[in-house]
Amino acid sequence: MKKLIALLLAMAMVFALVSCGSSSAPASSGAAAPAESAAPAQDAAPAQDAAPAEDSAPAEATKTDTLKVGLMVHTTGWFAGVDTPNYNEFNAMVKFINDNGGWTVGDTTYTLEAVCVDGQSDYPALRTAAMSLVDSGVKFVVETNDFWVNSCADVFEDEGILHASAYCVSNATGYLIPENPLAFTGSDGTVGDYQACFAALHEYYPDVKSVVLANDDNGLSTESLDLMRSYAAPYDIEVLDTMVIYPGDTTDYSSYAKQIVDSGADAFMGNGSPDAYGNLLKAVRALGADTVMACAQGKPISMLMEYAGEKASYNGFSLGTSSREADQAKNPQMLNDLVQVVAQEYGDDAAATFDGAAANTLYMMLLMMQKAGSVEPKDVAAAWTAGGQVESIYGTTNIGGTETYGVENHAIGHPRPVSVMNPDAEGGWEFKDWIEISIP
Amino acid sequence: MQIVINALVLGIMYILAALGFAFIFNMLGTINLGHGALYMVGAYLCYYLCAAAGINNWIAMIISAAVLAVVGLLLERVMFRLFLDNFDRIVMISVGIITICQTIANLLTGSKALVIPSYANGLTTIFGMSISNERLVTFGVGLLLLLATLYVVNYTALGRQMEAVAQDRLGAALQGINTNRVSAAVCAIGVGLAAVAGCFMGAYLGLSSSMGDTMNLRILMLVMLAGAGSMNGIIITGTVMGFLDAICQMAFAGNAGSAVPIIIIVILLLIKPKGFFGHDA
Repeated sequence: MKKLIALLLAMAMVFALVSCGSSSAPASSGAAAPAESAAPAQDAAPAQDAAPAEDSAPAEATKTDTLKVGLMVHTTGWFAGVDTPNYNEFNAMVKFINDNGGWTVGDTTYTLEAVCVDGQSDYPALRTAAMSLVDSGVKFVVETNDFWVNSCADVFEDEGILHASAYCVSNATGYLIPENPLAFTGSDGTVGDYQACFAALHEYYPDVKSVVLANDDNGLSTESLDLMRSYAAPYDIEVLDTMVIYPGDTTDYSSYAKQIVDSGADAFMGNGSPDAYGNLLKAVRALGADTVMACAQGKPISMLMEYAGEKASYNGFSLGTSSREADQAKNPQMLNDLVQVVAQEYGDDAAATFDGAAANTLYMMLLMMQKAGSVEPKDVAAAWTAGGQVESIYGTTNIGGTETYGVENHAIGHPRPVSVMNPDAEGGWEFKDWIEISIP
Repeated sequence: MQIVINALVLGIMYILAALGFAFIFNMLGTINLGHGALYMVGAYLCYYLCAAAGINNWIAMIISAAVLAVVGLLLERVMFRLFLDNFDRIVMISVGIITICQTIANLLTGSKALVIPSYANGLTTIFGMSISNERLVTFGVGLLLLLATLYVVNYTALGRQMEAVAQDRLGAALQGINTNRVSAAVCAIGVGLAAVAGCFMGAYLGLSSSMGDTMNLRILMLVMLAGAGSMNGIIITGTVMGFLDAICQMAFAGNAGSAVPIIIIVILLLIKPKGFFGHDA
C-alpha cells in the first residue's frame, strides 16, 4: 500500500513537471499544435487584409517551404496570466496566415510552423527555453517582456537569431541596446502606452492637471520620469515627483492607494497588470476618493473591472481593445479577423481578453521579411532598421524608437484604442477612438 | 489609523492561513510547503462554486472549507502519516503538490480575470475615515474564526491532546491519546482554515495560480517567529507581521517594501533562533 501510494504520487509529480516543461498547449488552450497541416498555396497572397510592406510586394511564388517561428513566453508560473494571451494570439496568427495560404517572401510561399517553449516564469528556465529554441533551428523568435528576456538575449544574438519582445516595459532595461543588434520590439510598450494615456486624459478627462505615476518595480523607473514629463507637457499635465511603486507580490494595495490619495494628484497612471490596477482602483475608492485611473495597458478594461468591482469602476480607462460586435467597426479588419480565430481556437474568454502584442510582433517580423525579400535574420533586421510605415494589426504603424531607446529603429509605435469606464454604458464601459502613436 | 486597520486585516488573514501550517508543523514536526497551494485551491473552488454552480458566496466558502478539510484528512493519511520521519520526502511531495495545483489552476484560468463575488459592498465611515465593508467583514469573520480556534486549542479535550502530541508524540501515545486521529483532525482544521483565508483574499484581491506562493513565504516567517509548538504565539506574530507589512509598504518603495519586513524578521530570528514563544520540541 505504502509503495503504491508513493508510486502514484511520483507519477502525479512527473505528469505535472512534464506539463510544465513541455512546449505544448498551456492554459485555456483547446488546440495548439503547430500549424503544419495547412498546405501552402501556390499563388499565395499574404494574410487577407494586411497590406504588405511598401517596399516589396510579394512576387509570384514558385516554391513552397516551411518557416519555423519561435515563441518564448511563460505559460506556467506567476507570469502565465500575462503571457497566456500572448501564446494564444501568436498561435492564432500562425493559423490565420496558414489558413490564408501561407506567407510569401520573394518567390517562396512559406507555411509557418510555431515552435513554442515555456519560460516557466523563472530566469534559469527561460534561458534553457532559449537554448532549446536554438536547438530547434528557428531563426526568428517572438519573446516575452524585455525585463525577462534581456537575461538571455545573448543566446539569440550569438546564434544570429532575430528576436523581438512582445512588450518593452521600459526604455532602460538594457534590452534594446546597440550590443543587441538583432533585438526588436513589436508593440508600443510602456513608452507608447504612456503617450496614449496622456492623450486620452486630455481628451476624456480635461480637468486632470496632475498625475502621480503608480507601478510595480518592473514597469517604471526614475530614469523614465523625464520621458513621461515630455509626453505630458503638450497637454499641460504635471507629473508629480512622487512615484508610488508597489512590489510585484503585493498582497494588499491599501497602503499604496493611500499614497496615491495623499499625493493630491488628479489621476494615477501606470501599466500595472489588470489585477494590480483593478485592486489599486478598488483600494482608492475604498478611501472615498474619485481619483481618475489611467491604466497604460492594452488589456481590456473589462478584466480590470472584474478586479475592481462594479462600485469602484468609474473615472478610469485602459488602452484595451474591444471584441464586442458593436465596437468592431472601429477596429482594423485584421484585428477583428484575428480575434475571431482566437475565439474559435481558444474560446470566447480568450477573445474577450485580446491584446495582440505577440501576434503583432510576429506580424511585424513577417512584414519585414517581405520588405527584405529574405528570410535571413540579418537582412530582415536591416529592413526593420530602415524604418518607414507598415500596416500592422492595429493599423498604420511607425517604425522608430531611435531617440527613446538609443538604437536606430528597433521599435514601433502603433495606434492604441481607449476603453473608458462608464457605469451607464453597456457592460459599464465605452469603446472610444484609436490614438495614433509614434515612438521618437 | 488607516495603517492600523490595514495591519489588523492583513494580520488576521496571515494568522488564519498560518494556523493550519503551524498545526501541522507542531503536531507532525514537518513543513508542508504545499499549504499555500491548498489556500489557492480553496479560493478557486469557492470561485467555481459561485461562478459555475451559482451558489451564494458564503455557502460556497463553507463548502470549499469543508472540501479542503477532507483534502487535509487525505493528505494526513497518504502523506504525513506515511512519511512522518522522512522530511526530504515530504518536502519533495509538497513541491509536487504546488506544481500540480498551480498547473491545474493555469489550465483552468488561462487569461481570465477571476474574482470571488464580494462578501460585502459599500463603505463605512469610522472616526472620519472610509473603510470598505469588505475589509470589515473579512476582519470580523477572521476574528471569530480565530477565537473559535483558540477556544478549541485552549479549552477542549482535542486542544489538550494537540498540545500533548505537539510536546511529545510518543509520550502522548503512551498516555492513550490516538495520535493519528489528533493529527488527522489538525490537518483537516488547518487546511480548512487556509481555504477560508483563500476565499476572503480571493474576493479581496482576485485569484491567481501563484497567490499561494506569496502567502507561503509569510506563513513560514510567521510560524518561525512564533516558534515551534506555540499556537497562541502565532496570533501575536501574525499581528506583528501585519503591522510590519502595512508600515513598510508606506515607508519603502517597490520590492523594498516586501524585503524590509523579511530582513527585520531574519534579525529577530538571529536574536531568538527558536522564535519568541516556542519550546524546545
